[in-house]
Amino acid sequence: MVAIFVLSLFILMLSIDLLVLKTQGKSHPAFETIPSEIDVSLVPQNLFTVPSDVLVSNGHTWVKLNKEGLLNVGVDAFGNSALGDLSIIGCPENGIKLTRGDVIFKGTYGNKKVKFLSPVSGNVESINSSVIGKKLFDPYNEWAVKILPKEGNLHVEGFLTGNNASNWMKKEFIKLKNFLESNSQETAIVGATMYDGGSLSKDVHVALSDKSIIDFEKEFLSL
Amino acid sequence: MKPNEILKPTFWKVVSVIIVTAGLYSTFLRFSQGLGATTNLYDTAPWGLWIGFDFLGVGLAAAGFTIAATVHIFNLHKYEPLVRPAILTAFIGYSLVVCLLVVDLGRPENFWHPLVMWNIHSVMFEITWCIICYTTVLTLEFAPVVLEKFKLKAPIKILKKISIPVVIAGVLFSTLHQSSFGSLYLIVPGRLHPLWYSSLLPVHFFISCIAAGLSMIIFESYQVSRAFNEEKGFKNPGLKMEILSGAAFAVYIVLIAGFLLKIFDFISNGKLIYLTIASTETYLFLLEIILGTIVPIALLSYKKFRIDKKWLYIISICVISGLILNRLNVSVTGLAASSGVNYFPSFDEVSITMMLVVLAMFAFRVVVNYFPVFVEEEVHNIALDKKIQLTHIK
Amino acid sequence: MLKEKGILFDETLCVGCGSCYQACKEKNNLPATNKDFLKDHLSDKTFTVVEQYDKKYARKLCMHCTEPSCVSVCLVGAFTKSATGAVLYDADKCIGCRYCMQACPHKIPRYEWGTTQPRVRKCNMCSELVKAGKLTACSEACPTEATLFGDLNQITAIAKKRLSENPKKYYQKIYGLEEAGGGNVLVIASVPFEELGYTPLLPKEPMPAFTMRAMEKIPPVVAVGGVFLSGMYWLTKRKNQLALEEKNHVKEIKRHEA
Repeated sequence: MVAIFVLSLFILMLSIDLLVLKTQGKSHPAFETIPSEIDVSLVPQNLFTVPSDVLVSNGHTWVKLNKEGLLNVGVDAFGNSALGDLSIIGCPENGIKLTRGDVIFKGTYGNKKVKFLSPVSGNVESINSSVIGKKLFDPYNEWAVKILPKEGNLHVEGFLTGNNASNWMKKEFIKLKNFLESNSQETAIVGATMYDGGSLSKDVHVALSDKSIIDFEKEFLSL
Repeated sequence: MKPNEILKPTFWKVVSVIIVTAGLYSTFLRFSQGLGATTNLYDTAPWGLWIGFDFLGVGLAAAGFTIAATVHIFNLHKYEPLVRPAILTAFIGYSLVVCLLVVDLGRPENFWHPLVMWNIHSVMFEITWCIICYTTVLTLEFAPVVLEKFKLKAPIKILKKISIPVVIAGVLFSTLHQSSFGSLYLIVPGRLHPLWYSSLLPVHFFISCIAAGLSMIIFESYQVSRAFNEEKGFKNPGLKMEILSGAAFAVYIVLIAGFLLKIFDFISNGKLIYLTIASTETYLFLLEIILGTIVPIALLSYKKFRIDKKWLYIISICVISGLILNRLNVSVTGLAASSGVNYFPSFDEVSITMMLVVLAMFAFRVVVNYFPVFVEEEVHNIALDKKIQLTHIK
Repeated sequence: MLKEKGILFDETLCVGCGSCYQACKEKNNLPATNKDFLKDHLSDKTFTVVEQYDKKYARKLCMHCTEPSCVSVCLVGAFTKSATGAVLYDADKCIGCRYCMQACPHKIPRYEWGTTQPRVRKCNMCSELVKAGKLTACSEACPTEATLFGDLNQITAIAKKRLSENPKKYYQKIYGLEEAGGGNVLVIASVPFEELGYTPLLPKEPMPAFTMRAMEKIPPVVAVGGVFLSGMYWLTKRKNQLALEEKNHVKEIKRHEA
């Protein structure tokens, strides 16, 4: 009886944990739907590939060490296409000191503005004026800002690389799909354009309210 | 983590606090009023849930030596990412066992006696010393992780030099005490139910701990990836399915070996007849064998289940359940009939046990948060880190 | 040196008066536990009981085995077998693991569950009295000589004699002579012993032998295991090394060709 008791307690705890995760809207790693098979098949695969020398932050900005010893900072493929085509606007001026978590640049999806946060602390050394206000075609090469990192202050642990980054990117697209489904004012548009059409819609942002944009920043662009 | 994040109540935090509070109160009662007032132990059933749980804890912590041997002795470096989690699990598992033993001892203030008072004929004596030595080995094996954090390089070099003898000693100590938990019951042929009693008991214990220890590591990988993937700033350990499937194959082989040995034991000692007697013991034995051995063997024999995330998780739970049933069957169920009393743990016994489990999981979490236990992408990032520092020195 | 002592309990002589029970309580300063001594059972306050089976009475007490399980299993050596044959317990050594209670084939040791400084309690064959050349309290008190105390070889001879002289009266076996390797307490009775609540089917071998058979294998396991593991380490390392060299070699050749 004691054996049964302990065993049922063990199984009970595992089941409760699954229920708790369910109420939180998360899934246990064992029962996660495998991204590549279902939802993600409709998102172009090249959006997931992250070059090996790039570190992706949780706020969908990336950094890459360049030959000058500076860090190039840009927006990753997700940030570049989540709600339509992104245009970077409002970069900081040269020489400004940034702390990790400060706004590094703003961007627009159509008429909706979003803020991107700086993944590192340091001084802004240079700005790539050629990317400002344009559609980016090669997100991991088109840097927006160069930063001289504050010595010893690189928060390496906050970044994802290689396969981990790609897997995370897949999850973010799934999260985005759910986010859009529950936040868009016109579900039909999102459904029809983004996931039935086989490519990301350029008009997704239209369906979102201003409040949803704030939620989007919180969910996807915070570090 | 920020303080307000730590204080933010989540379901499991609330449950843990309740369990630990109840456990602390029970611990207080246990030490102020004695065993009689707080446990349901009895003269003819002197060992209960706590001892059973010690067997469980040690059995499930067995990956500490199997993985270390696989990587360092057999040089299969593919499994390297599992070494640190396995050693940490073992270390925390053994600490839990020692705490629970101290609670269970009638005279806990005398716990140091085995160090100076020796009776080399006692299995218990051998177990005590093996556990002391093995815990030392685990400390040595885990020390580099701590030293790495504090950037102390000289001691790491020394530890690296002695690492192979240390691992070998660890494997030997583990082999001895894992099997000796079975030897404890060799002296009670008349009391332990024949379904479990066997002169091969130590071998059964040893084999089952290998399978269960590996399953525990598989199970734990899921829990770790469940617990840490949401946290900001934490390198997502993810699920390394390739490695886990490899470990699962080892579980498969070991389970088959254990099952064959059990069949041999039953046939050669004429014990098959007991399976036909309808009794609680028989049902629990069958449950143990079916859930913990036959079902996992059946599932693991298909490659598609071995490489499937969901099924591998279920299989690991089955094998762990099998070990839970086996150890508690040996230590409680199998002795119930001869003790003449129907032992069932008291509230205090259960709450102290649960408290220690919660504390062990908490300890695991804390260590994983502060020390580099999961190392996969480490090399790349450190390289980058160094580069940046170098450019600055220029 | 004192000779090895023993106790013989002859069920056919026992009238169930409870004198031994009372004497044991007094000698060991144990409190009263039950108004009807026949319904009492062994506990931390009762080291011997008289049990009733129909009109027969049977005493239960520590059997003081020749090779006691409790002595063998105690990790700190709190149990010892004394020269008089008594199995003695030293509470100062005990850590309270209760393995002795689990291991005893006769299920004799009892525990002081009610205190925070618990001891294992059981009959100690009135060790101090015996050392002083006296009888145990129970045999001293027995009015019918159902409990007999003396040198082990003498009481064994008496038991054998009674069995052979009265083959009809006695079940032809001495309980405690061979059970679990034998001990210093012997029982003879008119009926098979399981009818009187004595543990049946005990092996003739001393119980510690079951453990020793496994413990003996420890040195070879350590030796063979150590050699095997070191060998495997060397072998697999060498194999990896050779594979690496091979790889480099192939590379070099290719470079040359290029």
